[in-house]
Amino acid sequence: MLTVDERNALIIKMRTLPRQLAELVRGVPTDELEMVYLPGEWSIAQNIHHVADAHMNAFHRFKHILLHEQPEIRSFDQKNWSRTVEATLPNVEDSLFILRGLHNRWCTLMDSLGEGDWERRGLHNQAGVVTLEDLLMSYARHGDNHLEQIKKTLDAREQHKQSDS
Amino acid sequence: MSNSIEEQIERIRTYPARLEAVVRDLSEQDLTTPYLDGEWTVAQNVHHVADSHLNAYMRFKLFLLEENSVAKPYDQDVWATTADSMSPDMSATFILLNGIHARWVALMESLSDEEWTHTGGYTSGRVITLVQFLDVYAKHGDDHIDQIQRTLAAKPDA
Repeated sequence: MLTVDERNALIIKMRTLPRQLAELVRGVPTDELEMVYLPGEWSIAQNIHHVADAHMNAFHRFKHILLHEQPEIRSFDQKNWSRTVEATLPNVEDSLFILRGLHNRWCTLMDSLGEGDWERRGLHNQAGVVTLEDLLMSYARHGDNHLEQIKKTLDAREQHKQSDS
Repeated sequence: MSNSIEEQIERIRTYPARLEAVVRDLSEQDLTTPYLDGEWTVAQNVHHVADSHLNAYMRFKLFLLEENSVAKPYDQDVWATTADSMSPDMSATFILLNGIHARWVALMESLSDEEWTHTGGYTSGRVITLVQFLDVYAKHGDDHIDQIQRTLAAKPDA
């Protein structure tokens, strides 16, 4: 179990993620958001659409586990989900909106939980037993990982520009 | 006579703005008072629509991308009782709903005739196509605008 302070620090991470993502991509032209600068990796836009998709799923799981008795939760095929048209569009505004609204509501919900609620559990088809605290840890980390991935992609974009000039 | 796919997509596209117009100028009291006995407040209706359409967009993708996908049921009355579903602050929910509907519409506009016939199921055994799924949620949104209007009409005269 995390201490209350550790948990609150993760909730703050969740609260600030949408703004951090928006700041990273501010000023980046849309045609560069859809460029694949790292071979075999996603574009910046795909990263952001994917975070929105994944965190919508996660919020939904979170409410399921909070409100139902040990529900079954399932993984989704994120590779397939990132290939549909709206998950590859160069425009990331709508996904940033989703993340802002979603994380705001998610944090309101998390701030309202009692100590015992964090131990509530669901049964994941691959990971087994998952508590609400596990979900918070996973998705705080997931957000961080994609911030990192986008930074790496932006660095590759810089190198690409320098080699062009 | 059912509406065409284009008409139903248009209902989904315009929905967040239509819903927002109904609740924009309401006081906190009007948002959080259950004027109809045993029914939800206006705020609960709005937050529920966001929860439900978030779920619907994800189900839509599952039905489109998986074979024989089965939608997981949830207890919407219990979901409407959590802190995020009761709050008088509508702003986060509208930002979320706008984003979901924009992406959902972009996805729907990209589908071929054949993709619209893709199906998914419910735990009850019922199987529906994506066309029928779209009909359900175009109507679902409008039904909640009706319910909000009935709730406000039941407000006792000051």
